[in-house]
Amino acid sequence: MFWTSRKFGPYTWALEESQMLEYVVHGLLLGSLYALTSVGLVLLFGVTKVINLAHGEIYLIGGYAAYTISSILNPYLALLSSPLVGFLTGMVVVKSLYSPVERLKIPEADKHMLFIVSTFGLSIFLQNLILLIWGSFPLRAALFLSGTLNVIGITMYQQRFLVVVFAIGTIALLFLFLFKTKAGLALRALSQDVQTTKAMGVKTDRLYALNSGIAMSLAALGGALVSPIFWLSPTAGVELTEKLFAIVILGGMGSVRGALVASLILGLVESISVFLFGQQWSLVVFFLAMSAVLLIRPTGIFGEERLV
Amino acid sequence: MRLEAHDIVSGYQDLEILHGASISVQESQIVALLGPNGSGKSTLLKTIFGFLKPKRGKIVFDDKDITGLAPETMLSRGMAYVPQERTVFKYLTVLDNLKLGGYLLNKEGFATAIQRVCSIFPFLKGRRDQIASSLSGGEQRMLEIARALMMHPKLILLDEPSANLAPIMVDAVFKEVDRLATEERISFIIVEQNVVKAIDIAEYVYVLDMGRVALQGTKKDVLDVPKIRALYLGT
Repeated sequence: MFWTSRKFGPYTWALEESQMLEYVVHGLLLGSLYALTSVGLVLLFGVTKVINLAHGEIYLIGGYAAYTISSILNPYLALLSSPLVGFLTGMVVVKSLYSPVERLKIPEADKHMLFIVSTFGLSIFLQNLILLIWGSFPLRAALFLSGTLNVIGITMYQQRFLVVVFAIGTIALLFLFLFKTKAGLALRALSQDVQTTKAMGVKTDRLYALNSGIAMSLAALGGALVSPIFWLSPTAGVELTEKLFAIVILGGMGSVRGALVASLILGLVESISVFLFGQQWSLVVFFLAMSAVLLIRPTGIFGEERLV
Repeated sequence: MRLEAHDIVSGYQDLEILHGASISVQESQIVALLGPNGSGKSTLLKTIFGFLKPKRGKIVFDDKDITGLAPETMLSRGMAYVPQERTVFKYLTVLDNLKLGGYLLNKEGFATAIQRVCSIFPFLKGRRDQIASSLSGGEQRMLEIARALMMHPKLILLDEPSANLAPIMVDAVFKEVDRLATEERISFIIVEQNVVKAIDIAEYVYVLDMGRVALQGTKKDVLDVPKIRALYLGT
């Protein structure tokens, strides 16, 4: 129980205060990973109303692709090509799963059900595809950057620093895309009113493919960035998907900003709870924190209607 | 500009609503489309704009046959449609809304369009970066019309512009429509429940009933029909 945890108790506190900072840094790392992956989930839900149950597997595909490419070629090439793999997967998913369902002449609610079931199928398919290609034995890529870095008195591994920097940079690019380009404007409009957006002359097919491509390339990039830190295994995506849903709900379904804030909060909560109560309590605290916020704000941090 | 819709039969899947209606619109003319609920007014607008494909009939716009073309083709040919529901993008800025209106324009085309629209509706100028939901109901309606103006249309189809608006706002919107027709020489087809207002600004009036044109004529002709006066104006 948590009161018997070696981390708990005032007399050890001072000793381990410096260690605490390490957990905060680890929380930032988790938050960055959650941010990169959950933003894609929000884009998919916000624009196409698809709840993607295979998001964790897309993250894994990115991680495994990075593992293979970095061991054969070069780790930086892996960082470039993994998102590309994710992007292509996203395009294929839209063309093969989304568009055929969208064209059916059935009620919207039935379509949503079909989307959910088909992404669940995709999740099982990808898990088995991974099993087939990479086997069931857990894998971890070699570090892109070994060595440590000293930032304002905190020592952190360069690899972890790389994750945080890449996450911030990528999300900044995503905001530039959403706010400064025509396609970004059309996506923000689509998330509010599909019919009117179409009436403005916006062609939706390509935008849906682009949106899904971006969403999945972000998840794949997340997987590639942490492939030297967390173990890859065919079923590792499931837990991530669950956490991402908690994050997206906490942020307010369909809000990019909300997901970013929620990612950071829950990343820190998860990591610090390991420090305070031990590893076995981290998921409990994670979901308790989500429930606590939802008790106060049932629509999530940022409410539901705006994409960004 | 001239629009001719001839003998239109149209509706939804198995449900035929229009059974052969014909209307025509001249340049700079405001045409009112009146009639009871279910008489096919909105269906006629949607068919003209291409949301619905007519099962029979012909639509000619500027001497070209446009029957059954898609809505985005109508936009680039100079026709715009403002639906009955509120359709401003609430969580986008005024400027973003206008940008979407000019989505099909290139950069120069957009720059001239936005200048023109802001000179027609000066209130938009200072509020470009404001979020659209912060505008009043009437202003949102004007923004919808402004957004439609971005493509420089020669004909605007307005479906119940007065719906859900305060009376004073209705007056303001109709005044703008009248001004656009005379100053910018834009034609309008207006579907309205607010018959008094509609007949007031319209030059020509069609009354639909059961999917057919039951009555048509200039404002004066229509007002002289005792049945109309009795039904709609209560005199």
